[in-house]
Amino acid sequence: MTSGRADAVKTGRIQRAAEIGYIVLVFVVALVLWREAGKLPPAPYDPLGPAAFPRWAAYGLAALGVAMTVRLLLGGGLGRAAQSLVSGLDGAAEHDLKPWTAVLTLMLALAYAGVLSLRSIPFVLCTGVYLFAAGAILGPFQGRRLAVVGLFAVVASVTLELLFRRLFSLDLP
Amino acid sequence: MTRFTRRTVIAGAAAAAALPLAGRGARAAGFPEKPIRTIIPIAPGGQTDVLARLLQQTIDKNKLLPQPLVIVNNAAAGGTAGTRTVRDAEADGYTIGMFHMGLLTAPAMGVVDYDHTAFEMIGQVGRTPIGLGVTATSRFKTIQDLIAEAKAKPDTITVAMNIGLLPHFVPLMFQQDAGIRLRYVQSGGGAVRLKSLLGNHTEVSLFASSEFVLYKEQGIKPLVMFSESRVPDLPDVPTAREIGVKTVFEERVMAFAPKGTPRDRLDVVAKALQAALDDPEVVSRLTALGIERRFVDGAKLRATLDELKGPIVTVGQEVRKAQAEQAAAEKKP
Amino acid sequence: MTLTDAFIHLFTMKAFLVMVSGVGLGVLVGVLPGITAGMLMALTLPFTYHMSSVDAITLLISMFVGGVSGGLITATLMRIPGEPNSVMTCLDGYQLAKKGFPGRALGLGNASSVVGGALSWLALVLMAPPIASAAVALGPFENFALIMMALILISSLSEGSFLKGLSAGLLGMLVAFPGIDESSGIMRLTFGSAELEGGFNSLPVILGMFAVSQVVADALNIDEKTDAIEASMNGMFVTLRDYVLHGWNMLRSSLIGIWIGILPGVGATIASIVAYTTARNLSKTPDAFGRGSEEAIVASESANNATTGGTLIPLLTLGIAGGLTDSILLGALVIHNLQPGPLLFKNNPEIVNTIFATHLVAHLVMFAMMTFGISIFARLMKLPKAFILPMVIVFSVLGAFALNSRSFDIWVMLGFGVLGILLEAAKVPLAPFVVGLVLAPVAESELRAGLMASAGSFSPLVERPIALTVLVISAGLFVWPFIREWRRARLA
Repeated sequence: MTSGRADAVKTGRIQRAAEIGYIVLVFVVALVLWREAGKLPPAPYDPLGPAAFPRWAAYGLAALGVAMTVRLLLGGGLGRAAQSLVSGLDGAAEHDLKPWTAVLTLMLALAYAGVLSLRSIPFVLCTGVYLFAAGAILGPFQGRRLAVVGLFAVVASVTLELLFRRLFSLDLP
Repeated sequence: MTRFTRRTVIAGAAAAAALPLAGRGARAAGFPEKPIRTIIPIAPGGQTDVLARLLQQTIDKNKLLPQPLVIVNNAAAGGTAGTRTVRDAEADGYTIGMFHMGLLTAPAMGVVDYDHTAFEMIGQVGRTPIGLGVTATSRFKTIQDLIAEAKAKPDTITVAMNIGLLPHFVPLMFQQDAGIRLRYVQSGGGAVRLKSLLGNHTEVSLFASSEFVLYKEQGIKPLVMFSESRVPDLPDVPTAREIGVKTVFEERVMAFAPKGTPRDRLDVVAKALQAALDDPEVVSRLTALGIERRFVDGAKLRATLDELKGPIVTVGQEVRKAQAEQAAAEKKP
Repeated sequence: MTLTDAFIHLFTMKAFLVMVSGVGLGVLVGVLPGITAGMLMALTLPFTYHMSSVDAITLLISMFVGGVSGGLITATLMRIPGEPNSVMTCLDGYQLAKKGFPGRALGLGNASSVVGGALSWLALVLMAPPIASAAVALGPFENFALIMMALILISSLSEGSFLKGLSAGLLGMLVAFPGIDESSGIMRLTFGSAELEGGFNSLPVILGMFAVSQVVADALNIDEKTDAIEASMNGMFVTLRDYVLHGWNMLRSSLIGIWIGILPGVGATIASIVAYTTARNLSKTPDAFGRGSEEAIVASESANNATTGGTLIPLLTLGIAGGLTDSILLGALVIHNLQPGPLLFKNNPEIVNTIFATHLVAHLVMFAMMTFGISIFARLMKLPKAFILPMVIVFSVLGAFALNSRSFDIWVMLGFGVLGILLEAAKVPLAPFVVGLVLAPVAESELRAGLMASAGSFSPLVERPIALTVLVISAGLFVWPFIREWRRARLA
């Protein structure tokens, strides 16, 4: 019970930190937007010009930022979204969470995109290696499983290459 | 499709892996040794895109080149992302572009800092007559009516335009040459401008001759064309010159390559494009699309563009003048 | 060729095969996250040159219909939108599946899709010309008011946290700012970067926020036992009672879908969000939304399929294309020497009738395929996550890249994936973000076009009766959730 309550306090704290972070983001974005909008020339034909909407958005964000700060300072919460469009990030799970697996998955995706955009390594090779590496970290390191993942990676990457580059003559990275 | 045995799949993978290396150090004698990337800076489906794909298909079908053209659409940033890709590509003939007069209007708008001189011109593959039109029920029966009204009440007649492209620039040129002032309203592509006119939200707009033929049924009527002489499809419509306004302008679709691409490679592509334009199927399609099929070689095209650049730049200054007026109006109240 | 002939022709061997393969491929890319129907159609376009115009149109329309529908499966079974327009189905479809009723969720979604499609077909066939002339009468000010009415939904979508929701909507709007300003041709907010001049395309942004972030979240929960999803596919077949029970919702959501389909540049994603929010606002059990509500699935899936008929109206009668799929259809027509407009109806009735017939029959084929295909796809989804999740990333990368052949779009997608995770962690609602992202540019260009025509005067907004009426309704819709929450707080 006590540990449960401690957890609740901890999530409460994380939630608050995230909210403060969000407010900071809102203010920073509003400031950048307002500054950039100030640099824009007027449009040739309409009175609003390219700057009006960004400027309005900046004012709106700043006002909402102030309102959120006041609410936090008064000790109130900001509430939480009634629906979440990405599930499984709220930490309320009965199973073990694997934060490092998640971080590695993201890193691998970034690395894959990075290597692809260099355009010097063939698509089929990048994709094969990526599919294998990303598949490997999403489960236990057992010889048999890794072999299956490897086979899948080869088949999938070659199929994609044939389908998209050969059949559809797409200009793959 | 051939059936894939395990061996062909492996062979395919090996060939695929080797592909990007194949073209390295290619000599002109064997050009092209790999597919030519053809960048179309507009979204799939537009007239320039349709023309480019038609030529690509014909080149492929008639084996006019040993390797295919691979069409890549990049419509980002009003086409400038695509032209930039061509400009920055390696000048080895394996990257070319096909675009319309946006190549000249974008620098005049100040969106990019390079014009047609930043490229090698391969040639002009199509040309479309353009003109101004109104609805059949419009208060303007002739172009003279419109000019008279615009002189009497400047800045009241609304023009549906597509900013930064010909439906914006050509009415501006006409306005300068005729000494009138119109009011410009951002609208969009041909069909969107048609809708704007039909709903009486705007009064005048620029259309291609083929669009005039097509939209006749919907009640759009051409008032003036900007060709050298009368357009065969629209024999009753006067040219600007006939009414004493000097504006002459046409939409062109051009093929170009990065600066420094070897002349002999450009010629290989130009020859293929020219041959494709003579294909009977292409002839009938282009006639239906209202595109003049005459191929103009790179040097001639370059000279024409150099000539057209002048009026476009002047019009660009007109746009900046309008901007300055808007700024002044903002400070005043 | 009359409409009857067109229907009969569809059931000849070749035409039927073309249609079935079109629908099948469409459903398949709909299921695959990242690969959209637009991409499939763009890739298929060159192959249609050598087909007869009737076959080409049959194929593309079938793909169009199949693509809108397939996203439902991935959304329900994996909680990843297979197509952007199934974002809202993720919410309740997955929850219902998790409770042990995946068959029910998919069956309802499938039934709603076919009903939405059929109703939009009726609108298309019976009322295309009058709807088109009504749409022509709507000018920039009316369009602006109509877009505002949808934009205002941000407040409904923010329930639980208005401040966060409204700010998320504004953040979404500003994602659309960088790049060339459509109304003035001026580059803005590019920070001197040539890549940013192309702006953020909404597809990579949505893919990142909902597909990439969900993959990372799934990696975090890789040890979760998902036995609920393995439950039976019972309830796949929706009974007559269900159609009666959900009939009004299906009709209303389909009308919303048709209306949004006609509006230029808005699209199926917004249609399903609007229908979802409307259903929630009118529901007797609004709290069930997001927790596996059947009404929610019905609303979202009827609306996104109903846009198919809606978009075809301006496309066929005027030649106006609102989005990528429409411009490809338009391109296909042009390639085959067919120009949309009243002339098309007169000179090429065989094409118009083929489009009409295919639109309806493709929906029925889609329904049959989904009914029988769902169990196969469901088995596919039971493959280890170690296969599926990396493939989702690969498909998303391909999908983002193929759009404009820019590596930049891949980075945008991954970047917004990270942003999605962070915002979700801060419990910021993401739906308003999407609404802002898609609608703000349309609202801005319509308003500014109106001001160009009126020489800077805002007065047409209140002088034009349609614009005024719509704006008043919008204001009411905007304050309604505030009032409701306030009343609820007082009662509690």
